[in-house]
Amino acid sequence: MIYLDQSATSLMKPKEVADAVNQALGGTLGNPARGAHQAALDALKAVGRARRSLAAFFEASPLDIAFTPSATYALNMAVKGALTPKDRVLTTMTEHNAMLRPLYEMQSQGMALDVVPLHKHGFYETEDVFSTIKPDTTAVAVNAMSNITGDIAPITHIADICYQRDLLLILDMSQYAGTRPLPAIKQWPRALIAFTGHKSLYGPQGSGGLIKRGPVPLRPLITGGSGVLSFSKAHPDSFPEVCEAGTLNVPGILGLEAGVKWLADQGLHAVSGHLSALRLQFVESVRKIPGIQVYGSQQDAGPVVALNVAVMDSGDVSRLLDEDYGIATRPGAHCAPLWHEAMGTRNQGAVRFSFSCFNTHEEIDTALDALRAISKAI
Amino acid sequence: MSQVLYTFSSSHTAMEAELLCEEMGHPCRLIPLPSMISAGCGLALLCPAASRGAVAGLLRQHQLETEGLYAGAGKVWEEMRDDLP
Repeated sequence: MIYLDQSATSLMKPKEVADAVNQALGGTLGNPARGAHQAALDALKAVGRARRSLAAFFEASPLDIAFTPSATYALNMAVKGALTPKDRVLTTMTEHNAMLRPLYEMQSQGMALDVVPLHKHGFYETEDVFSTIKPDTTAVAVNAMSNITGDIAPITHIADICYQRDLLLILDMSQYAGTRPLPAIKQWPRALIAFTGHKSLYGPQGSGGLIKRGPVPLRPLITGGSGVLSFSKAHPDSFPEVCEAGTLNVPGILGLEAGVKWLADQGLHAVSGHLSALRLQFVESVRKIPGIQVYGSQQDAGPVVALNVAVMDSGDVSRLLDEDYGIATRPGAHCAPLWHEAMGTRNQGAVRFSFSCFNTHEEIDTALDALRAISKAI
Repeated sequence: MSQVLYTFSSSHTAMEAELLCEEMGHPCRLIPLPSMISAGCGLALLCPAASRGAVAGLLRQHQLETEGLYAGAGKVWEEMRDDLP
């Protein structure tokens, strides 16, 4: 199989990730922050070291990293924990439901929501943020990279806007983190940044986190065991405890740490170079295939490409790629309903190709050949 | 006074403190929070009294918030002011 669905989850992981997970299950690690016997302390120390590794990767402070089961959990914790019905939030039509649905929940409680529209190519620009923002906007909630087109949001400009207007920035880095050098998060005065472990950070599924920058009070979304303040009726509101009720996923966290360390060893510039080369090879050739429409601004994009073959249902194209050519892609709506409604692809969907460090130029050539054949057959 | 005990509102802060001490070669370790200090659960950082100044400086440098500082040996702990003379 040629796996080109890395935006759903990265299939191939570095050997170090599996080794770390195996080691975590090797019978030495107890429950972190639950007791002070050696196994519990060793687990807490392992998690503490992982927190440091993630902090070094994101250029954050270790105790500003909370581990969560996914970016979806992290975004729910950010949106429902930091925002109130009195807020007015700006978001965009490129968002994933992991961001949109928590925002809609808050909107149903009275929070105001403004949505940045898209240009006809399928993305927005900094000027669109300026024209959508309101004088009483209190927060901006956006993804850093589109999970459909791979378009990169103008993150630095958005962070500047947030700084100038004292707005909270809630950033979804699910697709971005691990694909290219990171923005200067440590310079952002007030932000909550969600990431997942199992995509381009090459960690296991079930790993992810939330990064806090600056003073951002959070109400806990999930309450329960915290390992401290057991006689308090309320869950601690200190970070990271506010996001870490219950037993942590130690094998997942240590696998994620191994993935991040592996990426750091490769170098994000080198990783980004390889992914850009794969994307460029694919996009430049696929655009020449008759009947194929590629979406996105194509100005600055990560290793994700969405397309359609004439009017073929995206599910049919993806099925043909899978059954006839052994190529795994993702059809449908990609949990990004506003984007598809804006692009008129609600019914057709789109076929998404997404690449990882483990993909090769030969695999891209094979995918291109398959698309040529499918296009020719219709 | 042969040992000092730093308490924290967070086990993860306590562990970060221990990791920093380990890096700097201070022989400190985490122990269960003594119930005479606080009922419930949690961890405290046990350090030789001789390391108090260096550890206090390290915690301040890394902005690790402590809840309390205690001096003692064994089961009896007496709260101290955390500012050094």
